[in-house]
Amino acid sequence: MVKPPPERPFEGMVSIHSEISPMASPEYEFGRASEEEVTMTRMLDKVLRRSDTIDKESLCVIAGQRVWHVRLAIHCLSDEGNMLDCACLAGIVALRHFRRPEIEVVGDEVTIHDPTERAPIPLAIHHSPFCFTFAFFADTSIPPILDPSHLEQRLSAGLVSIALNAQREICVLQKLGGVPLAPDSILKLVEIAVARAKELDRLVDDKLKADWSGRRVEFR
Amino acid sequence: MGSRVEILNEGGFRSDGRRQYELREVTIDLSQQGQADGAAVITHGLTRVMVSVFGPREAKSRSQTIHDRANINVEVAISPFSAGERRKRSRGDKRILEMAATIKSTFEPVVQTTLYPRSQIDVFVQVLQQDGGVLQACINATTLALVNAGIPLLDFVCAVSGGVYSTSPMLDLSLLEENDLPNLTVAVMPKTGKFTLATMETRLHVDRFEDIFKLVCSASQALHQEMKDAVRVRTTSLVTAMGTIQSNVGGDMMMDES
Amino acid sequence: MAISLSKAEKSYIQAGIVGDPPHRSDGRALHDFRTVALETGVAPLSNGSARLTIGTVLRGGGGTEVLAATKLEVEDVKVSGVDGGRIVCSVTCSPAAYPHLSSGALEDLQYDMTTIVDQTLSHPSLRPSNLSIVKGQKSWLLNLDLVVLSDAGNVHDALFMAARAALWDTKVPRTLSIEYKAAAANRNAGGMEIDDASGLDTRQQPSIADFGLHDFWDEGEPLGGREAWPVSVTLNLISPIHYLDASAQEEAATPLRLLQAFSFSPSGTSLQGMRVLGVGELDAKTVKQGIEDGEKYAREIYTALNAKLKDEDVRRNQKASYRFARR
Repeated sequence: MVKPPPERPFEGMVSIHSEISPMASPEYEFGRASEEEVTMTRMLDKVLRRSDTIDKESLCVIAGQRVWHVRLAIHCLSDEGNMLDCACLAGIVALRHFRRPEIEVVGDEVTIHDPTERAPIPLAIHHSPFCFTFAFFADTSIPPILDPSHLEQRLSAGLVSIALNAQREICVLQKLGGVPLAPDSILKLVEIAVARAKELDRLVDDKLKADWSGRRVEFR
Repeated sequence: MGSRVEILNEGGFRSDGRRQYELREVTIDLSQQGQADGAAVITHGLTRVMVSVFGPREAKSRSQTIHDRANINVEVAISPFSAGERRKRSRGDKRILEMAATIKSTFEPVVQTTLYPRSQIDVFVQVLQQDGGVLQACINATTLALVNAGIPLLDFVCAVSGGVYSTSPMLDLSLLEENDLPNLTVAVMPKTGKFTLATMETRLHVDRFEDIFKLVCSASQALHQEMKDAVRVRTTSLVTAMGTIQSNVGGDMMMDES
Repeated sequence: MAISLSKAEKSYIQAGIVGDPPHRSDGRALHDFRTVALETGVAPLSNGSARLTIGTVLRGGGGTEVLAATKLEVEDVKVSGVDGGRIVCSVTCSPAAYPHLSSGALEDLQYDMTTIVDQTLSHPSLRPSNLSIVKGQKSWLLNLDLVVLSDAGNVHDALFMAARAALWDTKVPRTLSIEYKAAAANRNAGGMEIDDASGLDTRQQPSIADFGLHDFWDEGEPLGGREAWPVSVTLNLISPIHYLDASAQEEAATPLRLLQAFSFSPSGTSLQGMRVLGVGELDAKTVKQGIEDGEKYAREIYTALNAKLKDEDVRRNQKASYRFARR
């Protein structure tokens, strides 16, 4: 719980830390931020924070004085290609799974209830974006592929990342350079991603529900 | 944030008096800047970016050389006084690094790097004023500076930004509009109509995306004409200055003719 | 220093300068400056700005070019500020100005220049009188940012001239100080606006002081004591003589430079900063003579700069009224 910045007194804060350690793949050096890491951090920031995934106003405890600060740390354990999609998925599932302790405000006094006292409550999530990365090849006869493996990623001549939610809203679309594409092809990719997002959304919902019901049993 | 300002009023005008599909005024200055091999200053409305290109030349460090093509090195600096609120960004700032990486990967497939193995092309971007569309200005200025430096490109790269206000697409967003609207920037190679860069932030429905995307692609054609004219004027004045005005002008003009 | 020279080149340049009559590569006399071009009000989002080039006509390229701009921020005296306001300068070098330097070396260079400019200009003796908003509560923080766009020698003098022009051009908004004394029972008397602007917790303080802008459309008044901003002159020393406004090559061939910043005010002349740049020794007599000569040159620069700045003021006012008349 922190004091909010004066320019946004009614909003909680969300910060995302991601780190690619040499553990993920021998390609990454320790200490220095590589280009991949910069791209990934920025992309995660855009997908999970800037697209208003979390209702920041619901994180406010007392306007201008106390707000929740949600920290999301993502550690990449192993890189076998397409780390970005994986990190996004992990991030959004973590946010949806997270439960914060309940609080009570009486006047200026804030009471934080221990999880054993009152059941913690989930965060207010507006929507769940999922990220899909397609790889292109210099040889245009090869069609773009979804979810490139490490080797495929190395051989590719350009990546397109599309983040969208099950409500057919694109949150982030990113194609940073690489082989030039015809405008129509991107629209096709978007269609594919839309279908995939629906599938993934269902999967995540089911898993979270299963997990949650499993936990409830423990409480009894 | 900008809820008090009407972004698109009923008469179809935007906050700065433009129509929905109107671009801001573009000025291009290709005159010599410092010791640069090629330079360009471009303004889109109040956004102003200066790019200097050095090279192809010997790489500063050996680790940066690539044996079969030239390495493009992009550095971006944003003047602290360029925005409404003063903010000093260090060289290691994530946003700056991302922008540099974006510009670099946009131009890698366009610059004919294979002609200059083991050398380096330095692109120094200096943002002097920002009022929305910084990335598009950077890309357009880089194109012009590279052309001005006489570095062979496959094509121009023209970038335009666009956004959607409720259901109406708009082009070339100012800062005010950029803060409030879902926006995208697309860099198009006008000759083939293909695009090398597309970035979009904040939520936008898929069906809207299609509209704005196509619109932005066609707007870049208009910008291409503008940039081509600027290069032609500059080259003509150079040729005149050299006192050899002939019908066949080489170098920079080659790209325009095709 | 942007370039490296061979020994032969160095001695050729040195011999030319020391020779009788002295020869410089561009045909100037020893104490001549190159053409200096100045334009104020170049960055519309700042409170004051200037672009200065030495060596070529404006926008022609090839010379030394510096962009300076000031920005004012409100600061809480109790938290971080100094009562009466303060000035912070920073110099950034565009990599385009030093294409041969690595980023680490560039950072060092930037740091050196920042130190020189900041230590001279931020000294309390030069502080303008109108940087205070509410005494003991709020004051302006003046950020002066300088960007070196290209360096063809004598960058320090250019920095100081550009800084002086930008500071001259700076307009401080006119403010009214307002003090609210809220009764404990009637906490909302101040209303929303004050809460927004101050961010102070009204509950802890029975009274808060704040300010309002006098007139939103008015740009404000110039900084107090703007005549006093220093001008610098760099004496390039090749024993036994000195010369001014070295080009990049000459700079590389000169072992020792003496930078002096003078402030001229009606009450007298003061030396606000002095630096020996380069390596070597300097005997006290040379320094004494140097200061005497330096003051003379600086006064010339000062007179010329003032005339130009006043011209610029007139030009800009004219432009504004012309624009207004056309509407």
